[in-house]
Amino acid sequence: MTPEELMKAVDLTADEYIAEAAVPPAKHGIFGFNGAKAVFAAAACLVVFLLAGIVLKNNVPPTQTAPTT
Amino acid sequence: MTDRELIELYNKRDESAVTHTKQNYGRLLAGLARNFLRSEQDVEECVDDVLLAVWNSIPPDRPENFTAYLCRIAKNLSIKRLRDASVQKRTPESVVNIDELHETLAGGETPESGFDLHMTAEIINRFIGSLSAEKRYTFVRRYWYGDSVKDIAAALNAREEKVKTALFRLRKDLAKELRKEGITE
Repeated sequence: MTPEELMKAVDLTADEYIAEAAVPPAKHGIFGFNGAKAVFAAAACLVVFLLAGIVLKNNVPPTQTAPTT
Repeated sequence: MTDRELIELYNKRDESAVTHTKQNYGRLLAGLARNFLRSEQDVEECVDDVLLAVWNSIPPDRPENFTAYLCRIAKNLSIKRLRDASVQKRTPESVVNIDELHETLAGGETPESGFDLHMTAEIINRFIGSLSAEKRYTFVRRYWYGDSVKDIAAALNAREEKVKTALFRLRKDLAKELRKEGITE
């Protein structure tokens, strides 16, 4: 197959694919992440949230109770 | 305005059809022409030629898919300009793209029965149809529209390396498909 023959074959790409490719495909999922990426991103957020919670819990002083007389 | 309404304007010989076509599709057509032609003046003239060609062909043509109809005319006119040009400073990206695809497929020899254009085209279409939307966009933009890797990556908001890898795998998969169907040996 010569490059010219290949070019002719590629030129016969169906109209529906040519028209579809006129516009980039829409991103699906959360902020453009989907599938494994979305799970990984969600897990990473959860870890950061939990770590932040632990750090805050350790740094916040315990509430002082009123002295009993 | 829908494509059907636009075609009706052409049928009624309403010149606003040309204005609307330029508004809706001018950027797409210029982008496609730019993949074949280097001079902006040539690109602008090519787009004007496309609009004139469409005005002269509808009617009697009644395109089912107006976007594809415009793109095919634009590509054909761009290639014609490219061939008519006496001097090209460097090989257009679109020609490089087909050479890149051919290199992957050239490992297989054409069988003795010869090259069957429609069979090959059918297999390529079936292959394109089996791809995900993103891979299909990447393949068609690279090998039909003649886009650069950089342009495809920008459109997909992806890294160029990712697009290069995807194209490499797509070429390999297509080569395998053509060998399986006996188009190459």
